[in-house]
Amino acid sequence: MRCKLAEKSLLAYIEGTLRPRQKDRLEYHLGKCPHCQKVLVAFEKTLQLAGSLPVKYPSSEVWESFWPKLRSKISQDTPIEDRSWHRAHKWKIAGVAGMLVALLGFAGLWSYGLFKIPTADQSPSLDERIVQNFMGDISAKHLRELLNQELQRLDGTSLTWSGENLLMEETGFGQSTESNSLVSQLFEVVATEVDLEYFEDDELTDLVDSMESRLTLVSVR
Amino acid sequence: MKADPDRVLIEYAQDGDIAAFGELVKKYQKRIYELAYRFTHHPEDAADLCQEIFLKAFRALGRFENKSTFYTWIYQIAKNTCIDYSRRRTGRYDVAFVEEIAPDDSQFQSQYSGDQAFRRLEQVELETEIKKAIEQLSPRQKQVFILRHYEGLALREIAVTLNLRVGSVKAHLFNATRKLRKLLTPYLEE
Repeated sequence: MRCKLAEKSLLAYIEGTLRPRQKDRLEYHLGKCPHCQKVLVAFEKTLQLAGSLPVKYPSSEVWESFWPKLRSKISQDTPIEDRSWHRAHKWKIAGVAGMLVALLGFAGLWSYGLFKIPTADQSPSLDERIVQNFMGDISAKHLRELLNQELQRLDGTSLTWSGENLLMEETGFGQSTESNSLVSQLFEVVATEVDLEYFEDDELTDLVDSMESRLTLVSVR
Repeated sequence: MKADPDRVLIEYAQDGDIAAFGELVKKYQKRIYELAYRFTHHPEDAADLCQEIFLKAFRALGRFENKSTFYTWIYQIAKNTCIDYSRRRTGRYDVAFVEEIAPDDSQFQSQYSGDQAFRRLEQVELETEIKKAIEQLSPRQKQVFILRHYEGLALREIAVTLNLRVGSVKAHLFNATRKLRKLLTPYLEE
């Protein structure tokens, strides 16, 4: 096990949620790595320090006036919804809701072209074709293997990643360009299959670059 | 499901009895306040946020259907309101709000003496640094960290609350802890 991967398992180790095999591997690594031992102690102390932060309560005046103040806001506010009205009209509400759902369903089918006469510009966009081709040719399982190979090549380990959310928030990928949109769609699909987490930004950049070139290859094929 | 001990009060409150709602507020205001405080780190702000939570709960009371306990229901409203609050605060980090809780010397001298005052000051300084460090986390890291380490929520519950994958929750927790460790390094070696 490498230090980078070991560090990423430390929180789960502290919380006692590592699987037995992972735990054994981590403990073996910790036994011979002073650096990771230090990180473990630092993480434990960090959590202990942060956890020791007490709650400060407001002054007794603020506390005592809490309900009177809230009560006055409530009095100026709109009354609670009358439940008896809902009960009395529930069938009417259900009827209107049903009609709305039917209307929306019809609108949805219309927008997908099921009730329209096909025209020349109904063909899938380049984005759609590439994703369809890609997913048609390669199963999620195979994709997972490819990703792991890619990770082995990049880092020498089978790292884990958490898919689109992490990508979007931590790196800003998937903002607007066509290729980013493809990559984000692909990650969305793969993320449901792959239990990979924790990338560094540069690893993500490399991975996304590599995924983009794969997608281009698939679209050409 | 266990019967909700608050059922009678809820029914009265739903029928417009404000005093009954007041009883519910008094019963839970401390617990809800504590959650709000974790997100604000400021007693008055936490009290305001707490007011917002109870006001929202009052407005939605008509929709409460005894499918969960009142506390579970209001805690859900509180979590969402606190998460909205931390989103609103994005980019508006202001250290002044943590500094204002630091005690002034005269107040300290009258309350404590000698070593005791020194230790207490050190403690206050440490608490201020921890709050500042937590405030420097990204909104998402902060939400995840608070829900996990102060509220004790399971990873899956956090994932559902924040509409994230469990893997993302783990990643945010890891990054939050790593960042806190970096920011609090001087205090870790003592």
